[in-house]
Amino acid sequence: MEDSRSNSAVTAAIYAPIGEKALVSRIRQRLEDAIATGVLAPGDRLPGETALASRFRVSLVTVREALQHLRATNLLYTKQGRGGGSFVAVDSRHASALLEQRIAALSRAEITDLATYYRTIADGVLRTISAMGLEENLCAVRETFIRADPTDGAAARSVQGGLDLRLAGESQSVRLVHEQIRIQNDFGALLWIGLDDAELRDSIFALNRTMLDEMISGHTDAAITARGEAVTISLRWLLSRRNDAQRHERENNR
Amino acid sequence: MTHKGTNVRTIAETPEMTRLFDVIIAWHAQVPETIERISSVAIAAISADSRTLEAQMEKVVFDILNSTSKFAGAGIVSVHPTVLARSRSLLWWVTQRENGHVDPLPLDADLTELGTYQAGLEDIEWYRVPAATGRPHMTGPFVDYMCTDQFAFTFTVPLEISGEFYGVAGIDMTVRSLEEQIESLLEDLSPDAILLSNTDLVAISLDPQFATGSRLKSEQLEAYDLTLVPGTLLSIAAPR
Repeated sequence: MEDSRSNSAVTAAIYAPIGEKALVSRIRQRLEDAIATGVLAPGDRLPGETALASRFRVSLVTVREALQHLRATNLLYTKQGRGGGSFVAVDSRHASALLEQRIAALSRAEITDLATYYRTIADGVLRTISAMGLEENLCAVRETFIRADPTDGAAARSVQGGLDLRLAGESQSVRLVHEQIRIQNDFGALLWIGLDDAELRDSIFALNRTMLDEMISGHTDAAITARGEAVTISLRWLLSRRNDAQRHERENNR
Repeated sequence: MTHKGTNVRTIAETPEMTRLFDVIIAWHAQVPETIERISSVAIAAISADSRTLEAQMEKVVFDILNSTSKFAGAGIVSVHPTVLARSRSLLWWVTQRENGHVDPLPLDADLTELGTYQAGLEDIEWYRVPAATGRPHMTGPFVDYMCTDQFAFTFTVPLEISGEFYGVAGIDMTVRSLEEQIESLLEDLSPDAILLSNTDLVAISLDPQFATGSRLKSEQLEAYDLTLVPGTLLSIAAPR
């Protein structure tokens, strides 16, 4: 029996499965992405199971299942006893291969959509900082950013992620911060893949500096433009990596 | 502390104003002595080359957080090599009030998603300013993602041993803890009264067009009479 007052698509969404299965694969994906992009480096130790369950806000069973998958696919290994725990197993070549697979699996539309959302939140953050009159606070953010001197993609992604998160924080909006954290977890590591390339790293970081300078001078529109350019450059790189990855797959399957 | 803008006129001293002052001063009163207590324990422990710095801090902070509902968090922060050799840099605990029972939680910068990316505690205002000025500072209100996800003030003082800067000691108080007490008193003064922090940051505004945490420009402040609340870095603003 249909309820004609409600939109059936909206109602269906309410009853979409929440199941533990979905949580397990989201946790797997997040950890896999982190390993594939070097955010979690070979030999890094993960927090303990209880700590993970607490931080992800899921049950211990869910965490254990996710970690089990990662061990089964040789992304993690465990050590017992003192100094034990789960450690990242992959070496950088394996990580690159993982990354290619991950990128190849995404459709062009998915990637562009994620980038659109990322930009929307970034723009919202900048406009909110400006509306609140808090541009001066960005001087300290700029100081921290300028001092950072990452020498590889993984380190650069950490700096970029830190900057984006810190900016969200400066907006004084809890909601925006949570949205930034969410999109960063879902897509941040992939979006900023381009930071592996030294030249691209220089361009993107220069645009970040421009964004901060323009914000501090009160030119929000110019800041948003700079941020947009950085995202576009990185997006192009991601899409071309994806084309390469798909071509490799086709060649390997011959 | 001087107010921005020209022709700063203070609000006439009325019984309403006096009441407001009293409540704010009372709210603020425990801050210096409480931080002093935290400082002395910290300084004593660090100077004695004590390996029990963390344990001692935990003890005094637990006691403080359990003794009153006003404080949302307290502790010390230090990136001095002597301290880092024996302890974490962030020895701060926050209250988790559940079922009327206070449960201090250690603040681990790694455990808060924002903290994961902190490039340096030294850049943060509540650390940076006392380090530079050698004087107590009130930061905020700002949303304290590491602590309560609410707007809070963080009061910090420099920790000094033999003239050398070691870090800061401080406490957090939510804006809400003050709001509940003074909202109606502000209204008695003016339906559009604003409580300002550090001359231009909105702490509590009866006028809905100004959000807590936003900063007023000089031109906007021109329209207000301002009075400093004695002994604090808070001012009351009423439209002229």
